[in-house]
Amino acid sequence: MALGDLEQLVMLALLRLADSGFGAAVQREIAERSGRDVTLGAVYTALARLEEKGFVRSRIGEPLPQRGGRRRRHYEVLPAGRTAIAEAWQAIEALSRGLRAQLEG
Amino acid sequence: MSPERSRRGGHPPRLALWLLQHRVPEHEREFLVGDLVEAYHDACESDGDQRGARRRFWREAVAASMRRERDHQSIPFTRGLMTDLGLDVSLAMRRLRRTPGFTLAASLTLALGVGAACAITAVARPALWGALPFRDAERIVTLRERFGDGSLGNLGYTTIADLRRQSSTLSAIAAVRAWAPTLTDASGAERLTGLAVSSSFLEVMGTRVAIGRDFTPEEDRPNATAVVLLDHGFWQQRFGGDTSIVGRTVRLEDVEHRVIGVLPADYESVLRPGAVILQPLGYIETAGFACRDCRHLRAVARTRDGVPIAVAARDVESVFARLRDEYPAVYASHGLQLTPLRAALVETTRGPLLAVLGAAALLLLIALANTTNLFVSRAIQRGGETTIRAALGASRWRLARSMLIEALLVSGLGALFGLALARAALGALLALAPASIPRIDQARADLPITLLAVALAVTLGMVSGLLPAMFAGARGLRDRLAINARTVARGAHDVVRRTLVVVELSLALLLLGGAGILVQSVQRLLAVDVGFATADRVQMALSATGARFDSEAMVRQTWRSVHEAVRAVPGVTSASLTTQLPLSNDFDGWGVRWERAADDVEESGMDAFRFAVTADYATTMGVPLLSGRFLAPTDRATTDPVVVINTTMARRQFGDRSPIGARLKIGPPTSPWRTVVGVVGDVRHPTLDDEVGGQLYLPMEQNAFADAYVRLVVHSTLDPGVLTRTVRDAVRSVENSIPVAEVSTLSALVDRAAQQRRFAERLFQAFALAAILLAAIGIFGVISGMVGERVREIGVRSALGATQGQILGHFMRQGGRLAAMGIAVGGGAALLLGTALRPLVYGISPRDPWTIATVSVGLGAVALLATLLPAWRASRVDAVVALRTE
Repeated sequence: MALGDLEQLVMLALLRLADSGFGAAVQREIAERSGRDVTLGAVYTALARLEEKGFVRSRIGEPLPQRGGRRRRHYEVLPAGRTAIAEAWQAIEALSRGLRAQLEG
Repeated sequence: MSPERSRRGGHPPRLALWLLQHRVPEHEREFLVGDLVEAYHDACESDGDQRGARRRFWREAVAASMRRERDHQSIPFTRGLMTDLGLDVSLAMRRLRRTPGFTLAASLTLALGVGAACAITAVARPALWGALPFRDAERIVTLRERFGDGSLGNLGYTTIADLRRQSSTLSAIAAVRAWAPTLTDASGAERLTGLAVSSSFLEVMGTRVAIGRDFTPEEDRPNATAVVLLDHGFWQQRFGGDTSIVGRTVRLEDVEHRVIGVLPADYESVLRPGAVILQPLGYIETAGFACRDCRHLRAVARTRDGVPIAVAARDVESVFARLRDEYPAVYASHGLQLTPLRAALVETTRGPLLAVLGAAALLLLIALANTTNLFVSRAIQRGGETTIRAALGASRWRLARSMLIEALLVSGLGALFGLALARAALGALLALAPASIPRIDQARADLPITLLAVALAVTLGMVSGLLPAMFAGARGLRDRLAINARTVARGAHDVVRRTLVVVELSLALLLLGGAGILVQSVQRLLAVDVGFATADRVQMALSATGARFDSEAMVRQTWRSVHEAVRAVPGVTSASLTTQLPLSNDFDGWGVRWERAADDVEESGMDAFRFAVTADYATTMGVPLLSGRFLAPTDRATTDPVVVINTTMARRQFGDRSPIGARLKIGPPTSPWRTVVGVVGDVRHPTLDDEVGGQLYLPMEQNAFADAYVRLVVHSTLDPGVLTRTVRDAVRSVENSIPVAEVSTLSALVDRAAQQRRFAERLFQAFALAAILLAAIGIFGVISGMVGERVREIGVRSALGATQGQILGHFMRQGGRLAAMGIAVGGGAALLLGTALRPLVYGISPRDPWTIATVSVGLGAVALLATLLPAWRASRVDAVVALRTE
């Protein structure tokens, strides 16, 4: 199953965040690394879709005071997700081979 | 204290939080909102940029709440007021679009009521409620002398002067007299409408000149320099708004008058509509015409600040009481009437205006009843859906709300249509409206009228939408679920519908009754024998004023020449001059003394209108000569004084005896005896509906003085337009400085005299027509609804052997019962409320039972006709088809 652009970003961010992935952290990671300003709502949409596709799974944490007593939903990438992102990555690498000069120039 | 607030940077924007709570799908709300809150606090703590954090929070919140449509995973939102409202509105719009017939019928019905009410309000508002364009207008009062018979009249100058000196509650008082100067300039002569006023007039009215200055007290004296103030509109139109006019002179009455100022644009001449020029009155108490008996002045005054009207009224009454004690011969048992300006303005028109407004209100109520009925039917049709929604847990409010929103949408449409209707109708109304409605020129469909339309439509919409909802919930849910569509549903809604139809029919009957009575009034009024011929006759007002007509001989000579010149115009059958014309604005009544042959004592008879005329007046006017002779050209100043009297006067004074040869005096005791030489028929004067009083005709040549204001009546078969032009030329050929004014045909004069009643009559007719239409639609709707709901029952009945006739009869009886009840209630109301029409009614009782009976029969017939169609449809119901649909 193919990954959308935002879904790829979210997956990569989740991989970087290892254990501590949740909506706002993913959003911040994407913003800091790629400079892309996505809304939290979009992140959640992407996460929901990834979960539906079986690429990520989530668990619900404890209520936290800094969240006004709300719980956090932590996401973690499943093996299927790793495969999917690797495939996408490979496809991009294969297709972009020899184009480096052109793309960076 | 909430956890959010306990942290640095305060709590996140509450409104944004609220938005999130309502817009984010529940399954991710906690996490998403938690993330945002956490990020907000992080940002506040690390950067200290609270504003940036808030901005970010808001952006995220808005983005998250907009996300819904794109997110295929999210569940449809069912919570949150805004969403629901939006949903309800779009749902209601869709439903209304699906039933264009209903939408159009309901909104047009509302529009009819709202439009009528708004148009009439626009006409009546300036007179009844609109702010008068004067500072503290509620402090302006009029003063009038109240005579022994309760009638009110003008004051003599000295009385006004005494009131000014002795009253402690009036800050200013002004005497006012009509003034009709002739303006001469290069383009010819024109008669202006104006007022001669005390120098305190503008102070009383609470107005300041826009340009120039006010009159000074020195200018308000005899032989002072002639000065005038111009009305703003007149200044614009006649002098092109040239400010240098102030200080220049205009030629009035052959005398140069200096223009000293221009009145402000918002000034309205309410005391004399159309007055465009003011001059100082210039009276002193020693002048002969300033006497207490010389009651020809109107008085307006301004009460002192803070003095209630009642206190001022008592004060002037007590001042007047002292005068009465001092001059019993002059004042006899008279009193002084103080009336607020507004009340004085609408004295004669308030009743008719309120009656017409009342009629519009009735129409509005009928429209309301009809729309409500439409909504009730709609609620019944949707009964199944409503029941299921209720069973699924929709609250009563929720169910009512969808209907209410529909009603509000319909009423919004109704307001729109109604306003358009009001605007269109206002033009027609203004064309039809009698000039006697005060401030009619101020009638506009402006912002307040727009607001009224919206307010009315919304109120009506709410009532018509909520009423059915109230009854829809009246029966328990279990009952409603138990009743399926097969059963005859006769519940609260049925009672509501029937009641509404009865109300509607009774209101329609009220309007019909009113219209019927007014139609007859106007017919009777127009059928009144005016006593003179109106066909092919044109009249115009002439005036010979100014220095050039200083001598009486000059005036007499001028009228003689004008008379000759007009008679010589080709195509003119006859032409005559008169000092007073029936049904015109002329009003010239005199006291009459009769000679008693037996004991040489004078006996005062009834007052009479004085018509000083040329000898061909009776012929020109077509006034019939009943005995003796009319005036002849041979009755000259040098021959014996003669007079012709009218039938009423002859009968009153002499009964069956002949008055020919009797002698009378007109006016002061020093005037000469005049011999009665003939009797003519009565003419209606000064109004169509006044009882005919005494009228006497004397030769113009024999009148004690030369009248400067006369009317010319011309009988000719020429086209009135052509005739007017040639006659005007003839007048001008005699004397270029004689202005010709108030040109009209005699039939137009008579029409104008009936105009106020005709106005009301037309409106009532229009309203009654609309009412009968709405009532017919109403009863039609209810019976059709009943038939529609009971198709199965009808099927069963006919299967069990009911004939078509029986079924038809059954529904006709239903309709007939409603009609009978409506007519009974309406008839009773008409008998009770008839008195409201009294000021408009002539020659018929405002509660004329015959009229009410006739319109009742008419309305009943219409109601039965409206019932016939659905009843006939019911009788044609095929038992097999009806029962198969189960």
